[in-house]
Amino acid sequence: MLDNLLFGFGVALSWSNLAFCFVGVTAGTLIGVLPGIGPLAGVALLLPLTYSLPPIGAIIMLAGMYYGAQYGGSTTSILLRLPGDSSSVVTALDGYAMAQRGRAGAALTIAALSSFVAGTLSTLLLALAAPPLAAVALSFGPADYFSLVVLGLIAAAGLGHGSVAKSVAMVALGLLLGIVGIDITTGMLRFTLGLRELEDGIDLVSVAIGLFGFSHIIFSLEESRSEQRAVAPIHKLSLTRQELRDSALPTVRGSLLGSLLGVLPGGGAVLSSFVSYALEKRISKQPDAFGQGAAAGVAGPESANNAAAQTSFIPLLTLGIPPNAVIALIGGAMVLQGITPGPEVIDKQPALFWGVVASMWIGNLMLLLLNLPLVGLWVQLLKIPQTYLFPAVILFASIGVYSTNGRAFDVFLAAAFGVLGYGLLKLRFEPAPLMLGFVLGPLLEENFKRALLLSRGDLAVFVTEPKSLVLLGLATALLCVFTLPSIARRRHKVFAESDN
Amino acid sequence: MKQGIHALFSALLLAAGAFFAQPAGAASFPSEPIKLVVGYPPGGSTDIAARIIADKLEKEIGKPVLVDNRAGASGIVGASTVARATPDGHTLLFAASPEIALVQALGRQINYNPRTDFEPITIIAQVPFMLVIHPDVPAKDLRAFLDYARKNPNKVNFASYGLGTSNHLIGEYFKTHTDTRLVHVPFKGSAPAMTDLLAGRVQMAFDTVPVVLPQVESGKLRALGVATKDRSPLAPNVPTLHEAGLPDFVGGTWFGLYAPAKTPEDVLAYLNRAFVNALKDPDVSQKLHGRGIVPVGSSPAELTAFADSEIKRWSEVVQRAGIKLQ
Repeated sequence: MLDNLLFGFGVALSWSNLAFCFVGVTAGTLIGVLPGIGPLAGVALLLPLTYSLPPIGAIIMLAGMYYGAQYGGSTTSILLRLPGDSSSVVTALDGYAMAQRGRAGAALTIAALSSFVAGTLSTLLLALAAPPLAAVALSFGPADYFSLVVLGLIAAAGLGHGSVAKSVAMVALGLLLGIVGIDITTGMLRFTLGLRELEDGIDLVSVAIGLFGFSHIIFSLEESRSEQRAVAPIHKLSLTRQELRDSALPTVRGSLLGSLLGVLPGGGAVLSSFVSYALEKRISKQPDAFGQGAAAGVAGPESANNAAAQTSFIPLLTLGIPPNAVIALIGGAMVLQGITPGPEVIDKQPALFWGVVASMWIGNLMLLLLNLPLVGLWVQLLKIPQTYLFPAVILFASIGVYSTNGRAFDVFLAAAFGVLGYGLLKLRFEPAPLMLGFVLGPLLEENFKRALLLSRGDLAVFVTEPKSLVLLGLATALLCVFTLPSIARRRHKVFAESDN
Repeated sequence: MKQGIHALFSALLLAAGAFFAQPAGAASFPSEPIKLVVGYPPGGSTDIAARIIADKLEKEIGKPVLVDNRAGASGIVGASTVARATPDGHTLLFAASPEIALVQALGRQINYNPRTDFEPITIIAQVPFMLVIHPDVPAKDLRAFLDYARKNPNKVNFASYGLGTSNHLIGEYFKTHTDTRLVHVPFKGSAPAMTDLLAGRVQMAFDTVPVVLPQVESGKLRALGVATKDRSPLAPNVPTLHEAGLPDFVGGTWFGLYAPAKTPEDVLAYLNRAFVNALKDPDVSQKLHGRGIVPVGSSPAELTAFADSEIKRWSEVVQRAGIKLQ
């Protein structure tokens, strides 16, 4: 194994491959920083450029862009409460709160450091255990997915406000928004209002930018008119010892969580950041601090999404199955280079496999060196007066939303979600549980139906499959924790989250 | 990178040359960049095929050829954009079978007429399907599999990209054609379907050759045949389904090029020549073949006849299988 990794470093450390890696991670950072323009649009744009490159260099570059975007995506989340892509939605919660307390530099540094640690751990995992992890992904059937999603949804209550009813309402609204579009099992159109654009469902980017970004801009404008809000003074950029200590364990937990969830098709990076946040909040000694700028609330999700981005290569490189759209695009690039992603890549293309794995660690190091000096620069953004900053942000976010599908409709949709988000903020509903419901809703329904289709309608399948049974057991236990009155009193303390 | 810059410069030079060489008048088509509308997101096989061809075409005609992804509603969003575009040949539909043939067969509500709102230009390519099963199914070839499926009705599951998609319809066609009772399990696209097929939760699927071939070669799936007239050059050892015992069983998806109705004749002729030439290019052909896409390049009349035959055939399948959308 060590020989293989050394061989991989030999490949990745050639001058040309280092250059490809650098171009990839730099482009990824930029794409991540632009709100709404996610790695999918970025990789699609860069794809034609790779046609004339050598295969290994091309894949190293595209991979670098993908995990590079995970670094960059957190920047606008932290500074402007505007998620650069969907997997950094959660970072907006505590990252932005930290920025408001004048700790923007610290939050950005935590994001970069925890992403680096996550990148290192998941690269190691990729090198050590790619085939067994792929086997785990394969053994996850529809019943198991369903139960995993149930567990995730129950945990979602922890994302929200003190009021259980409000959290549940938000999750339910999210679930309903998630099923908009054509149902693949019956072909039925649901809640499409006769709009062609809604047949494939509501785009995640529109929801995220609208609910988190636009709504917040409206809210801030109102606030700054009523009371002239001073921009939080930017303290030292470096971390305090306390912040470093608070981030250490969440980073390790987030990395492991992200590495595991990244392998599973579908949810991947987005899900892992939500789950990590919920987990950190639950086990924290100071749950009250979450939502008010807890370092752990940045470190956990940021490490999780970066780790997930990296391990999501496992199914592609070992099974030939892309777990998400970006990886599918990278798989497409491999095919164009004459390499078929699949079980034989490791044996037949060892230079490619180990070279790409090694380049991931090198890329992460480059990202760290690239991002730490940039922290000072990004923080200056906060000094721009709102009169200039907000229109610019809205412009860039709109371009980002438009670029996802090339449809103006999505921009209007983001605007509508901005208004909805503003209403929710006013009524003290948290948008985070809605987001999770929205992501998980389609997975829940699809896997429920598929599990029953495969079991020929036998509901017992959810308890006869061992993994499903364990997950449902955990979900039930969690539900008990919520509903038992004595613990429920404590719950208020655990889950209360301030409004801003 | 260096090569990229070279390519950029040579493209610029070509463009400049073409600009000065351009005669005035009606023959000056194309006078602006050509937009190939693809009704699917970037990265899918329709998109990749369009990009490979656009790349070549750009060099041939000396104007930028842009791929415009208007994804949504299985290609319908893209097709309706082109149906309403200015008919000057600068906006073209790089169509796949769903928005032209399957929408009609499934009786979906659409705001364009695939037969009258477009001018056919050429059949771009065929994308054949391969029939694969999980190796746990006790059958080495098609005949044995059919025996097994008939003896065990409603036991074999077959995966598809979703209700009413191309590989769902070919699965239903297979059912009626072979008189077997298989259970349809829809997925959201090819990748999740492949996961459950590899794990053996579903036993059978039709999918494109490059997707299933690596799995077949490593023994994780078993190929029963390709649904084409001739064997696939990618998998010369796999028989056609015709050879394996299903006479004339062919099917897959296909790409065709259309312009909005009322596009001038000479422009259509120009486009037909340009695209057919691009498809003949060895480099383009090799890249397409690598993705399991078989380039064609036909006359406009052949595209019309082929599309009509597809509409007729899949309408029959939809009716016999009783598939209902909406």
